[in-house]
Amino acid sequence: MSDRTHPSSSGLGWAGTAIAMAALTLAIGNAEAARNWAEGLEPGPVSQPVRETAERWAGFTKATRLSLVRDEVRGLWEQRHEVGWTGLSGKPPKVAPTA
Amino acid sequence: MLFPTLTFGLFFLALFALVWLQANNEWRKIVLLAGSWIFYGAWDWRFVALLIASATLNWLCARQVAETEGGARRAWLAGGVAANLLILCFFKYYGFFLHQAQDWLGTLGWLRDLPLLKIILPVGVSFFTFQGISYLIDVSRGKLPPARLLDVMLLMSFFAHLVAGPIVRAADLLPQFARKPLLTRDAAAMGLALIAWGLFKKVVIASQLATELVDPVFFDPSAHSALEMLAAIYGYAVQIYCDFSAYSDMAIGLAALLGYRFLANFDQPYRSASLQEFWRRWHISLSSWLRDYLYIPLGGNKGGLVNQCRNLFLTMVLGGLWHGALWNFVIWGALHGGALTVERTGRSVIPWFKPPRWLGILITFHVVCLGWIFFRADSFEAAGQVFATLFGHDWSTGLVTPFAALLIAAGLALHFAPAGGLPALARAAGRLPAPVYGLAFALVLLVVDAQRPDGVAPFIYYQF
Repeated sequence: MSDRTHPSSSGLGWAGTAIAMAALTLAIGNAEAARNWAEGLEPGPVSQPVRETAERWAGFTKATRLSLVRDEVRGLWEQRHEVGWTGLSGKPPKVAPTA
Repeated sequence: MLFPTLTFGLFFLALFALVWLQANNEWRKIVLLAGSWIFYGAWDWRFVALLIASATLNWLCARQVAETEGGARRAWLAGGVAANLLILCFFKYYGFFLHQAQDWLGTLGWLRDLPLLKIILPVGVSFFTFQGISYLIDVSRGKLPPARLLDVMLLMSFFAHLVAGPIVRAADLLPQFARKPLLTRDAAAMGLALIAWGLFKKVVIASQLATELVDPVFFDPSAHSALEMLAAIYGYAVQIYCDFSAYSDMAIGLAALLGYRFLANFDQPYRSASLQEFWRRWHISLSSWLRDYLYIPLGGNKGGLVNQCRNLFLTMVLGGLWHGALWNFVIWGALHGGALTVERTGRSVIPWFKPPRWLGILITFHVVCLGWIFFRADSFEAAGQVFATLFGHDWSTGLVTPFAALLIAAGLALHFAPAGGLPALARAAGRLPAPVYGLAFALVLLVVDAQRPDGVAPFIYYQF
């Protein structure tokens, strides 16, 4: 059906482009998620090449720093436990290392 | 197949493309139905047969209800509703009632080994049976004509609401199935925004609170301080809201991308100044279902204050039991029912007494939190341990880290943000060129995913 006659073509085209762009960005910037997902697949003749491809792709995006945003956010996020209550009882606050 | 996983993401991408490639509405629905069965079958293929049987039953009964008169009509309606309840009771309550019967017989000195079966609870059975019942009753009330088998199948199987609601009414969805769906740019922008917002609430707030505070404290309340217990109760209030409303948001967003509109299921519930208001803002599709198909048929507001209170209490107790075959859920329902009857009696007896809104919000929130203790605790004894810990004298911070406190504060702050904030943001973002919106959407998902704890816990309401 042509764009002119399809009543939802404008919204659909817009949504399709946005989703395709998002999928592409995530495939590049979040290859680690695909690697983790592939690792969880049941072993078999189909999953083996998927796992290898995901592993290679994740390695490539890491080496070329395409996964920079994810890695930086993950790094910052993992520091969240280092913030403690100072001067209160309970878990003693950890002191951040100084240069 | 859980929403916040890559498996589901790939499934949805394929389904989105396949559905919109169909120019014919009938084929769209067939593709959507097949996709929904694949989604449901990912848990257990046997349950797809149950879903098909349940939909066929409701389709058949609704046709008979519409085509017959008098006693036959009433018999078809009663039979259809009873069959739905039988499915629900068999899968959900068989073990519960049999255990109770065994215990009671035991106390009477009449020990018997009753035929206990290991029954697996089909995911979402409470949701699709309630949907089937409401369809039947709506047809009998003349609100709807009986629908075609394909439409009834899709109504009950549509993957977006299948496993944890919202309980979308036939009157809302069937007319949408009858016409070719329209995907506007605003709806698409809102759908994507709801998916990102839902993922944020589930992954960043609900999952983190669960793993870092709520689960460890509720696992062994006696090993924790009163402050940890108190924080875990508030944390659970935030967790269950963020978890369940996240699912609803994603369901609404996914349906919007496929051209269908679901009604909102949450409306900042913790800003309610009364329990009555709370139930207008929390799990709206369930509370309105209970109102229309249980409270009103029981007599509703007719027959004086005592009858109203009885109807209200019964509705809430049964609403509690709907959540699961545990006494804790019955107590949770009874607590809400009791509080609602106190509110209604108060309004009737001392109509001049109107507490300031902030006080109403504070009291309502804490009554709701009291209910959550029974809802979350694994047993009645565990709930008792929670109270014992709560009234202890140890106030050490332990698991109450600044991060956990921040998550609780953020979860509560969401309730006081402008209600139309997200739609306004989505509308504004929808003016952006599609690649820019797509890039921004992906960046949000990427940032959210980077904060994900290892593994994804299922949504709380999957168990119901």
